[in-house]
Amino acid sequence: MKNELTQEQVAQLFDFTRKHYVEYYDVQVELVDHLASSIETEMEQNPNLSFEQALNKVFSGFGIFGFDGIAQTKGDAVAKQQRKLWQQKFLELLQWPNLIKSICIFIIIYLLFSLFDKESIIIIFSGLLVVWSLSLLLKEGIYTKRTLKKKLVLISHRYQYLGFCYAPIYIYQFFGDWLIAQQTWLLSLLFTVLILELIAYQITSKLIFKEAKELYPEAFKDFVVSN
Amino acid sequence: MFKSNQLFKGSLTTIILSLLEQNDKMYGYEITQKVKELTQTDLKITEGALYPALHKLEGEGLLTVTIEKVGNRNRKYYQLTENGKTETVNKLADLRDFIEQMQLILNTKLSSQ
Repeated sequence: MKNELTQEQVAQLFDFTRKHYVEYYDVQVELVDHLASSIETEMEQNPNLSFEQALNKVFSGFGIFGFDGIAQTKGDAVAKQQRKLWQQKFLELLQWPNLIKSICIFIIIYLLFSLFDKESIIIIFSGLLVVWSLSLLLKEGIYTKRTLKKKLVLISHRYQYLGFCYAPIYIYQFFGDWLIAQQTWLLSLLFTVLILELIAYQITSKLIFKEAKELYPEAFKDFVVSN
Repeated sequence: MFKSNQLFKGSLTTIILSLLEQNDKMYGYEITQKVKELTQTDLKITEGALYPALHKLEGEGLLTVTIEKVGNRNRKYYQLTENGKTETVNKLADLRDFIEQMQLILNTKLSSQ
């Protein structure tokens, strides 16, 4: 009969993954279960094998790079998946009934450009995007610090999309005259798209945190162990 | 008997998708064992190859994951999404076409010798 590993041995496996530079808890969980299942089978087939000997044997199955490639590919996969989610949420903002709100944003920006100095509005909206994105990062950073006790790869790739918020500032800095010379509707469209991208980021980010908490509640500080 | 795993490396994602189509949900270790069982240990999916392939499929939205408590540890199960189910049908059809083409090429070559 297969003997299940003890709580201490499972904890040892978590230590083992950490020693092999797997820093994210969500990656550790999968590797620990694989190692544990494999060790249990090895020890069942050869009862004289110690836990440490079985672990070494099982780990050799991961090849010379050990866990390296696994942590890397997991990160890439998460980034790709979340980028898709972000794009999906952005497209939803262009569909009924959200489309009404998006058109309203465009009209407001268009009116502002028509009523006031173009350059001033460009500067205000460029600054607004930067401040908005930084405040989001700060808010999420504080939330992560307060609630998370284990690092998750699932929530570590969110920031990659926010670079677009700084685009208008750079364009204004290097091609200011060209930017101001653009037609009002085109500028309004540009800032509407950027604002919608940021709203889509906010929605995506909330969903990412929600999914992380559902899948790995024990990685959060408010998790209560129930027996 | 399979003497080389090289041929199968390119088909790893198809093998995973096909297994998940037949078994509803599976975890990483179970997939390696299932492949071993089906091929009588001739074909081994190494862990170093399996997990990157699983993560890639998950990233492409073909797989979804759930976590279940099993004994004193958590287990991550993979399941096909709707897109994954469609992709499995397409990949299996591609593989069958490829095998037919190879058979045709090899048979033509052999008969001309």
